[in-house]
Amino acid sequence: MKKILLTLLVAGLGLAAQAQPPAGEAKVGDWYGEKITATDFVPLQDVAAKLNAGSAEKADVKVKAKIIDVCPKKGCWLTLELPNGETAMVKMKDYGFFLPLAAKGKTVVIDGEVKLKTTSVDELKHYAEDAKKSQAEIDAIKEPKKEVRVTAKGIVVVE
Amino acid sequence: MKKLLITTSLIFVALLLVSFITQESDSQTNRLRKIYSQHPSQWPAPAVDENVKWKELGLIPPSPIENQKDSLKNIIALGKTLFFDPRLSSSGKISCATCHDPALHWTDKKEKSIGHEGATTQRNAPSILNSWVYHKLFWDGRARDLQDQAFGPIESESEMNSEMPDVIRTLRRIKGYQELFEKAFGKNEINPDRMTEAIAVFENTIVSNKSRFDHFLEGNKKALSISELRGLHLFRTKAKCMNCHHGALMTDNQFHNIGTAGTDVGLYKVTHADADSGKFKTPSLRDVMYTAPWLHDGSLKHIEAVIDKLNQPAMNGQVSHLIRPLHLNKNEKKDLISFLNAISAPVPHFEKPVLPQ
Repeated sequence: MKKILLTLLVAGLGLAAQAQPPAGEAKVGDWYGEKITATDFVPLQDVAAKLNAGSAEKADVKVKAKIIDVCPKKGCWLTLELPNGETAMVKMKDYGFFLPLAAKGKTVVIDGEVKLKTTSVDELKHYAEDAKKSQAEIDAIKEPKKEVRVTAKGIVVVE
Repeated sequence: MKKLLITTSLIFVALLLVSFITQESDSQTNRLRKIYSQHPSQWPAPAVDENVKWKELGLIPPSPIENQKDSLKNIIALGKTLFFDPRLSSSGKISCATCHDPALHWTDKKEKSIGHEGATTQRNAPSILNSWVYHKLFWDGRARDLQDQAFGPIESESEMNSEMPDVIRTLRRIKGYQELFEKAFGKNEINPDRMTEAIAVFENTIVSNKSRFDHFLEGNKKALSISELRGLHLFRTKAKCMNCHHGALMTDNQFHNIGTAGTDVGLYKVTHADADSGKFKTPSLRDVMYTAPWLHDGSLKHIEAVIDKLNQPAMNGQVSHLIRPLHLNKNEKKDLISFLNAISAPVPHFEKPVLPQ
């Protein structure tokens, strides 16, 4: 009964409206966020390599990369392809815009900030505990995890 | 002697004139008081442009869930707690209430807000009072409802700078939240949808107090001063406010370019339609005198400046056809501001929640 009431209420408030990414085909030339040009970009992996080598903390650049995944619920994050099966996570500046699901598999140029996010050994162990991993698995965590993160101001589909 | 007579006559004529003018304005005021003392359905139609689907002004509506507050009390309690909890931010220092402070009419009184590590937001933080009325959220309407909106500040790198998985992990580690979620939703499954739903349901309960204008509508005909009455009339006629600010909450729920966009493209970023460049959502004018600074960028600190912007708008090609020079004189502007005061009520008392450990 309570559940029915809640469902009714939620429907009444419009909360039940299924959140979904914006519609769109993500065709070549389609853009999101700030309107940017697909010029003067570098491959994401080059920037990632530089950051991993420690020569800079972050970079304000235009990068080119292939989209592996799009947030299925809102289109509010992306993952990009990096060598060796790694991925880079993209979030939109100020949570300001969203991408359609059709962007999955497309190659894009992104204008934004690229940096490394480090998760400490302590945090990683904590996460492993939360995920109910075995003690052996938790003890095996000895290195902080470094991930490439991108905050995107504007994105344009190029391939 | 003759000179004295002339002076006396002159004074007499002047007095007559003054009394005539006063009487004239008195009778005008009486006329306005008579008209607006009727039920709003009897008021003369406002002066709005063609094709504007206006609704008459009216009494401040209660929360849309007023009658369900009891059955929803556990969800409301959870949402209220989450709204005030800085642990939703990556620094552990910023909560929703940081920028939507109940003591400040649920705003922060800042031009732009200060977020993660001193970052400045792009736009002015609006009040959450009566926010249930909006069909779209954010100044550019990029969120479809309050629940959708709640993800934004939590995830934005310039506000709370969180990652949703981290937030959920944090909440799951707090025993008090396991209980709050269980009470609210039956099972203690803590997830982003339930978290944001609870915040949205809580926000639905935040509405304005009754203003002097509401007391006037309820039959207290002395609740509005002469100047406020003239302001109400101007609001509905010469000042053209009701082109956009109509209905009980004084918003048409639409987006307009009023010539103050600056470099912000507003709705265009969402729709990519050229015609939407520089359009922002029409804010409710309820409690407007308490929510300075104004506009999407908080750039105007004085209400006189806001009125002046609309009285003599920047007429570039992108500005809405609803906006045009109004030719309001000094006294009319004063009366209009009097009315804005009459629709602004002190914020309802609010008891902050105790955060669970």
